[in-house]
Amino acid sequence: MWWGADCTTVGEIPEAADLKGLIAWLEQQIDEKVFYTDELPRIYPAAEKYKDIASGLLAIAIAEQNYILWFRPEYIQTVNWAGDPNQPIVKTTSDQGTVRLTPRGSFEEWKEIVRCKSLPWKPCEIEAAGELRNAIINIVLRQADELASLARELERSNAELEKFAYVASHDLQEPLNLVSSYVQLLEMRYIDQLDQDAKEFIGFAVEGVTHMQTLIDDLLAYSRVGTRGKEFVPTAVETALDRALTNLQIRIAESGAVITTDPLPTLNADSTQLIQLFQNLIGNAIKFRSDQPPQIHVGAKQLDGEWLFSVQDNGIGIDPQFADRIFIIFQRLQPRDEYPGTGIGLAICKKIVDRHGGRIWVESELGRGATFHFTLPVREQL
Amino acid sequence: MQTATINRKILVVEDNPAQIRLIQEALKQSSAPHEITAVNDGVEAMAYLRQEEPYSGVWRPDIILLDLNLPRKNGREVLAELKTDPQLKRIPVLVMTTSRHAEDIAISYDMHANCYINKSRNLKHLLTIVRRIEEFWLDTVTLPEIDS
Repeated sequence: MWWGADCTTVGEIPEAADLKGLIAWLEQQIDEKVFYTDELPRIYPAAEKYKDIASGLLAIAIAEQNYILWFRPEYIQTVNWAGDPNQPIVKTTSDQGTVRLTPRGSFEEWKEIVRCKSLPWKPCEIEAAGELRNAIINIVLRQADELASLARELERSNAELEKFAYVASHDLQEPLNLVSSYVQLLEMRYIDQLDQDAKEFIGFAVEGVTHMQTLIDDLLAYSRVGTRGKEFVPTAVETALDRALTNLQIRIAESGAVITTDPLPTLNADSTQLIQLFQNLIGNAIKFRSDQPPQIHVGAKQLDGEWLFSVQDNGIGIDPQFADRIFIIFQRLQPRDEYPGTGIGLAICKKIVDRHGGRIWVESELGRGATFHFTLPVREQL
Repeated sequence: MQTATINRKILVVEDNPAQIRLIQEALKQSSAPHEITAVNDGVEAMAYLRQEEPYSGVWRPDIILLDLNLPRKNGREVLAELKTDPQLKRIPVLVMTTSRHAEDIAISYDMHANCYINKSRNLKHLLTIVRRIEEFWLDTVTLPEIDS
């Protein structure tokens, strides 16, 4: 079975390179549903090399680049002829240079061993192959239908999500803004009549609303990684990292962080998301620092078909049992009053890496710093 | 020549009464003499500005605070009509909306909004916005004469 680049085989078959050539040739030949021959090397001379395996060929085409092939080995036959059919006429040349034709020399029995032929395909075999083809195509078509409807469903739900994102940013925010503003107006207008408790309660109400506003913003940012992503273009990772560091410069200066980097490659990526990815990871390395000034190293290593990046810090570290949980949206391991935030940063990182077809994980121990690794595949630009 | 003693008229186009009241409350802190009128949707806004019934004889505003999400006729439509109407297009329009969408911002400026302001998230923010509107639009800039 030849499925694009994948090939599943049973029994003896020609070598992969030969098979590739055969398929390319077959593509030109197979305009009918079923292709069959019991003398492949005659119509496709390259097949002579593997006539022991494939002198006979029965093939069905399921789709472009998708074929099922059956082979039959050479079957040496002896055919008895009356006279040599390959030399029907005898030519003799006279001394004067004239050509003289004579009829066949004799009618004595002549034996020819027929090579490069297989046993013929029986009509029932050819018919069965055709029926198998129909059955497979019906399944393929049904699956294509299902896939298409799934794609439509996905498109619809994406549009819905986008609509939700808009509603979230506007219709959910506005009432919250009003709650916050009016509670504060109460405090401002009636400050003389409020006791300490009342002021504290107002403070909690405003804080709650502010947190809710941030959660909505973060949810929106998270949903937009998927819906507002840009096309992948060649992006110098170093430029993205520099932009991230510029955005973080105040926090870097305040914390006294020292950031070192390996040489970084250029990859096809969404540059805005790459900036956000580095910004979130390095921002975390600064935020979750120990009593030492942060030392952060951004590493890069080329592997087979992908680059492995790492952001290593000397911060408070993460208990390994939470290594997976930290990438889930709104999961937090630290109290909010010590480390403010909603727990969106790493979820966004994961979504960005996922969108680029990579993986992200963390290696850490409590009190021993953390190293976040992520991979980005090397891909051809579309 | 403009002086701070002129009573500036502000038209607020906003469907949420709580939001209107909040803007009024914030403007109470203002030292510039002003007058606020509010209408609740785009259709009313156009009727007011064109002095059609029931708004015949009203004064045209000096500036307009326009929300984008409005019932009946939304803020974009109001903006488009305003800025193509020879009698109304010179009135400064300050879009005030919760939307932070890049498209909303771009479309508003494309349709010649004079500025785009995100609605405040809290009272302090609102007071700052209103004070700046007042300082800039009611005090710093020279506004055109609006025919009544």
